[in-house]
Amino acid sequence: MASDDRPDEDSGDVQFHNRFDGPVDAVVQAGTFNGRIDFHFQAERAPLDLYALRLWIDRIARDHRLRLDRGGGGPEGPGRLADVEAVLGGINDSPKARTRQDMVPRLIIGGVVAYLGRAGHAPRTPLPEQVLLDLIVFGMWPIVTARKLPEHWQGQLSMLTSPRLAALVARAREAHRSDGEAAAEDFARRVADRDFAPAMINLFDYLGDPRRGGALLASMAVVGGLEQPSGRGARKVLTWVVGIAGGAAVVEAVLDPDSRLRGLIEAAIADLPVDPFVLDLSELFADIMEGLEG
Amino acid sequence: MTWTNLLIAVVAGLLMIPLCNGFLIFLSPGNPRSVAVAAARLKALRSASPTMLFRWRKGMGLHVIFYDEKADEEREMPSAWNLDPYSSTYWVWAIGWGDEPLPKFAAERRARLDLVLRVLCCLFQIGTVIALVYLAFAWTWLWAVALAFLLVHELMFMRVGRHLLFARRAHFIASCAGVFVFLQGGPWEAVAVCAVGGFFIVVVIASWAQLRNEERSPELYAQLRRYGMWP
Repeated sequence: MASDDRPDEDSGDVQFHNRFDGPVDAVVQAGTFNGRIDFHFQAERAPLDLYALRLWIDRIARDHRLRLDRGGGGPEGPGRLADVEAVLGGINDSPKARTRQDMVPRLIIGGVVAYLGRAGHAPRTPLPEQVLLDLIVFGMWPIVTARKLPEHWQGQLSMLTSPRLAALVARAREAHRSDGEAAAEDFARRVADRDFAPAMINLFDYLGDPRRGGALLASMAVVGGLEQPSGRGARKVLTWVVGIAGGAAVVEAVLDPDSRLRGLIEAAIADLPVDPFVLDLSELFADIMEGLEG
Repeated sequence: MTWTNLLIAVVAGLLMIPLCNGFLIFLSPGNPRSVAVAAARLKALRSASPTMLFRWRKGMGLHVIFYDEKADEEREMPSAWNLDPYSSTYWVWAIGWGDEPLPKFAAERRARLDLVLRVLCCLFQIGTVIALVYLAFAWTWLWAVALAFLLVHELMFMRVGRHLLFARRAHFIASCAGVFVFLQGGPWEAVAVCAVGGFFIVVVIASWAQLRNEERSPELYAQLRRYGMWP
């Protein structure tokens, strides 16, 4: 599923880690932070707008309620359901919801968990680098498509991510409002065109802190049928995300030290727009393995 | 008796200087210039980009993180606001910052509080002037010396925008000597008040002149400061 602007394989600007001839048959066409994306956000892979996100959260909340009625969900189940219902109430497009100051983080967490919860629908296994790009697009798209947001949403988003990403989302919102047809793919292309390392580090920091977004992320993840992120901190959230969205490919790569895929993933992780001093590659692999085995 | 007066003069003289400093620190944010600066800050914040972030760096003051669209990069810069640590509203800016930068509306809230406090200080300053005028007419004309000092100090603040801190040895000596002479009673009271008041008014005017010179040739004074020849 390559886009039309995919470069010729023989041309010099082909990214080495965009394709591989390893033991896994699927061809990985990762969107990279080089301004080009080699995939389409369509059908099951499309990021959810606010309306679709609300329906999705409503559905997982209903499923969780049924699970609780049948005696499942564990002792923390009712609390998690309350968290998710609060998110649902907070992202309503009603005037009351727009006054709630935490609407922006709720939208982001909703978008991120919806992406991870639907990762199984992906036609092929993405590389970690694409996971990060997807994460931004899926996390931000409900904000881009929300009809009304709280007064200081740009400041909040800037604080949670970075001023640059907040400015990009504001522009995407304007484009979406003036041209309702503006697609998530255009937004993804603009995201892919820039370095959002500070934005992602800030976002993972926020999601990895139980006193801030961590608790809500855990509740949303469990109710959405995902494993709860273990531990705290930006690195744990990153490995959790990469582990869920790129699971099979990561396992294969880690288990087979001679596979080319391993080298490709190592290169992709090394290229992650995250400070290499923050991320130790071997620790990252160990965390991913631990998470997958768990 | 003289020894008792001497002891009282030393204690009262030493206490008077920090008390006066504290009073001026409390009063100066109410200066019309300060109020205008606070209003301009609030106005600037309101027109700033909504994605702007603010962070307080210890020892360095307020920093701004913003996205420069033309250069397509994020930058962090000092805010260029000279927040006076000897101002009674300084705490509004200096406390309550965590490790994370805060959005524009948080800085705007601080700027609004700063402006409100400065307006209150301005009202307090007007009240102080009215009280001193009343005391000068209703009680003793010696209060007019305090009024003159206050007006000269505030005029200086309005012109150069700098705060004076009386903390030199000469200031303490003059204060102690003034109290000692005042305690002699009779006509010495007027002599002490006029002499000490006059001394401090001269100090303010001299500092004012020095600050104006410094404004005119900052390089020269920076050099003098480097050589330890200027405070």
